[in-house]
Amino acid sequence: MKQISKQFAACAALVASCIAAPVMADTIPNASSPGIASKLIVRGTLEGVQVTDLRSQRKNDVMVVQAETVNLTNYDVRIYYRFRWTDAAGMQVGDGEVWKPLMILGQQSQFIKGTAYGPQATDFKIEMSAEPR
Amino acid sequence: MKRISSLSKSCALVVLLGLTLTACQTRLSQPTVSLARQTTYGDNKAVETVTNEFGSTDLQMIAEKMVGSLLEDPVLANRPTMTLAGVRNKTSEYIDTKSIMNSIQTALVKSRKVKFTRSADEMQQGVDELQRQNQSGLYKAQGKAKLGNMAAAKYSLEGEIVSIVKQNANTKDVFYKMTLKLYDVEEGSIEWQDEKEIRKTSKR
Repeated sequence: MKQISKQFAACAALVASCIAAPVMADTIPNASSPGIASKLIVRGTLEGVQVTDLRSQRKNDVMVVQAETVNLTNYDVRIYYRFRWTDAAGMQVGDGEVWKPLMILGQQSQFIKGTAYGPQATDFKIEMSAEPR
Repeated sequence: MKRISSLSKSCALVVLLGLTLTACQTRLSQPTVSLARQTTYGDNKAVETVTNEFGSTDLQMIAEKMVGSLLEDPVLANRPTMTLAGVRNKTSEYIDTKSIMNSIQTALVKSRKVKFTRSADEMQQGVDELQRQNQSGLYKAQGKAKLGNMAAAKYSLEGEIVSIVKQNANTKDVFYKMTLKLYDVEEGSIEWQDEKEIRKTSKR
């Protein structure tokens, strides 16, 4: 009887740890600062991936944006992202980008980079989505 | 026991009533002509993973990468003239490379950072129109396109796409690499070059 209860406790602990892991990923904010968060459009949660750095510059009069994403969990996460470019009036520039898949291994950091469609683009947002675990 | 059975009876009644009410609700029709709802329009920018052969997402990702890389390069600083040359398909698949180049051309034209001249494929139509305007005797002189005024391309965009396929009983791995080069037509030198690599793995 004692052995059964021990086995039951072990199983319960295992299940609890499995359930707890995604909850922890859910608690990780999508961005490391409110400034970065304001540039993101995230569908749901990023499953433990966080945008830690965001910078932009104009190269050859075209806006270029680079974001650093870090997977803060030990699990591999596949995210999808695309940039949205807008002009000074807030109107969309270009047709809209294709969603791009990106696998980020556990505890890995990856850069994502986007270049605007032309000099008309003066602002941007990054639309992101993560595959649920 | 009696209490339980009466409870279950009332529950069943409530469910039945709910179902009846749902059936009475009229569903609004949608502005479509299809009755068999097997065809739907999807997101044309979504990631397509139906098979691991070359697909729409690959085409769009290649075009975006090449356009972005070209736009941020100083070679386009003074709005140069450019023409499209061929893209060699060295993969084992049929890939419409003209479609990739058209997507790249569309984005570059819309950026207003480059002027495209007619490619070799498109030249005959241009020549025909010039001859019609100049040799048919149908048009008044004012506004007529003159012969000998075409702008020559300073740069030529050409490239190739290759693939490496590996597979075993369970897994198929396909690696695509598209290389694009911008040649200075007069000098024959490469003024810009970039690559886009895509790996697709599928399991049975």
